[in-house]
Amino acid sequence: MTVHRQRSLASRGWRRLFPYAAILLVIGIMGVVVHSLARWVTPSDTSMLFLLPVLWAAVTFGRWPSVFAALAGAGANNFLFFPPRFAFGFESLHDFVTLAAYLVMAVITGNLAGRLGEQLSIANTRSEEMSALHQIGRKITAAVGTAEIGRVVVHEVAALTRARVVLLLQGEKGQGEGGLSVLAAEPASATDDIDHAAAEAALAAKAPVTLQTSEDGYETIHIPMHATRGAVGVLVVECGTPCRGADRRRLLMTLGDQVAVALENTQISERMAETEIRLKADRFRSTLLKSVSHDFRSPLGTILGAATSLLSDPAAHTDESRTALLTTIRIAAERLNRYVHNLLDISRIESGALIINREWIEVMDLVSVAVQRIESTGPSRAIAVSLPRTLPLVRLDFVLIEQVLVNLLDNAAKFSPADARIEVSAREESDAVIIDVFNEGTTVPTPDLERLFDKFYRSPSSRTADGSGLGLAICRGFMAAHGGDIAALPDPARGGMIFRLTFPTEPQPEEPGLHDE
Amino acid sequence: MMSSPSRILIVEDDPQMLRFLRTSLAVHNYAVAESTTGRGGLAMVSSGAPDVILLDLGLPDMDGTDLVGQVRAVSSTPIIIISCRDTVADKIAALDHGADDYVSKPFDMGELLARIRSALRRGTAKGVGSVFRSGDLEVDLIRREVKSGSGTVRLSPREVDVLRLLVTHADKVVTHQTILKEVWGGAQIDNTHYLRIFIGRLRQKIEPDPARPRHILTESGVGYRLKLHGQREPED
Repeated sequence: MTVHRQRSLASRGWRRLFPYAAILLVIGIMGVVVHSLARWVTPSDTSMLFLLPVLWAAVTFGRWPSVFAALAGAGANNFLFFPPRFAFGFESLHDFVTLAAYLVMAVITGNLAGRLGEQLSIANTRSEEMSALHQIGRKITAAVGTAEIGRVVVHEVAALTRARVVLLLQGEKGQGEGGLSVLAAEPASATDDIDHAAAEAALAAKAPVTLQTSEDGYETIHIPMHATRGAVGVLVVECGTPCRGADRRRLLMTLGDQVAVALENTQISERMAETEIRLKADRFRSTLLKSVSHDFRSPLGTILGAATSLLSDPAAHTDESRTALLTTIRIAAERLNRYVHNLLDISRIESGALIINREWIEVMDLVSVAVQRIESTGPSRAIAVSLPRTLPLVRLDFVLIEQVLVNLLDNAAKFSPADARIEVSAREESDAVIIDVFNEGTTVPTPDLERLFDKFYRSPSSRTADGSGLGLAICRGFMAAHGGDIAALPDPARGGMIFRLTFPTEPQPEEPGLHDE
Repeated sequence: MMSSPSRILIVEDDPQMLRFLRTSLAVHNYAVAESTTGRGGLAMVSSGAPDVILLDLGLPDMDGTDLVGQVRAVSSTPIIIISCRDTVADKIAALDHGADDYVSKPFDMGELLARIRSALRRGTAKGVGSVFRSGDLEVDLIRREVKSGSGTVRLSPREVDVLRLLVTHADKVVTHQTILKEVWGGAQIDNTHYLRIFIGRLRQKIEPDPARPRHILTESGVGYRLKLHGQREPED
């Protein structure tokens, strides 16, 4: 940084002298050229010619260089063309008046042209600034979230002003000291020399506070940012020439206002989203509690009742009644286990703690595991499996999607007559692999179809069967986490229901050399 | 089984679970020793020379997975994990540390007894012969032939490698990573899709109904298990 500043200091000195050197050079060359034409021109002509460099200097360098050019032109004229030639001085009053008139004209035209140039350059700068503001504004609007807005702002401002930029954000609760925290900085080291007191002062005064950083003209400008709901933060810009001048200040202030509005809007919508999530979680929790108290107590009651019955009077029981009671204990415990499992699954989905462990899976493998799991536990129901010989591999979490299939098959068995047909089939469509679980016998009225996937929803027709109302909600949660889709479709032709899983196919992995040595 | 009863060491800190296991195993003529801590269990492995260890992963004094490693340092006794932790990662970690099998709580006692029996069988097995029989399946690992109900099929050398690995660990879970490392080499350890496609094709050859495999069973997210049926001792 120090090295950079020294170099810019030196170059600034050179830049200041350059116009005058250039003017001298141009007038020198012109003197030589005009001198070689001296036979055909009179001193009053040369005076006219020497107005040209004055105009040029005025337009190119501004007012003071043009005055300098006028003086240098008068000097060169007098020296080269006015008798006595090659010496300063006048031989006639006429010559003096001519040169004086030249000087006055030169200064006036120089001034006029210079002012024109300045206005032009102001207009140029204005339009550059406007377009810069416009562009930054667009980028801020495109940014999503407070953090990204911060990054965009410091980056753009740093690029615009070649400065070190820090964006301080006013904390939600903290008023006064400690309320400001760094949102973004470019370069990151720019946060090192943040003057919090100056930032606070700027906020309190609602006006920029400028601190001299060092003797070479660098300064730190603290621009307060306010929006409709109060202080938003402070934009701290440490820079040199590019920030000097009232126009630049105005630009930075306007920018500050823009950023303030963008930040405030984002903060409001972020806060609203948080509230929404919290409300949803609260609703979920209360439904959950209701469900737990009902669905846990009923099987627990069975277990406790049967166990105490067996313990209280063992002699009274026949082998048969003992087996019957033990069987009810077993069934109730299994139901409880399933229910705990479902609750764990649904809370993993709700809390966002679901970890998807994607692998390339063969559909056949997945389906057979789920089918065998159902066949090994429940009362034996024939499940028909119909899969094409080849299907693309799908990338998914085996355990989760196995659970989806098990839930669907379990439902199919539970909610259809004992002799109804259950079938799992799969096929490939243009850009998806589809797995259908069909069961004969049940139909769900169309208005209820979507609600089937709601948490704790039990369709009126299924109220008698035991179930938590979570199975399909879990299916939907797991499928959504995979970017897949689940739908319930009535199948009137076969008189039943289809639950359809759709997995987008992905570019297939490289085939292994299966049979090489 | 009538000679001297097999010794089972239970390392478990839940008293009810301990009582249930002790009672049920005693009924099936096993001699049961128990410890409620990992350290105590480790001491009993050396002193009691159990035939099978049932181990809960959530112990009060140490991490069950670490305990598996420490037992393996001193003994090759089969270890069956009995745990409430049933994430795939937990299973793989325990198996990688040297556990032989995994049963999640709550479990079916019949299932646990079957796992104990197969662990005991492995403890006394003499290694893998050239011919492996299970139910109607007969695999000749030297001649690379499979005889099943439907006839004789040739196997590729790599299929033999995979089958030999599964047969060596018959009735036990072999993780995807282990199979990939042993058969394809360490560089392919993450290419589980190799294995998926491979096992799919192998099943077409040896399973009577590939949609309901009876021999090579999938352990969701963990690996594969070769299930033994009928007369099960491998022949020399």
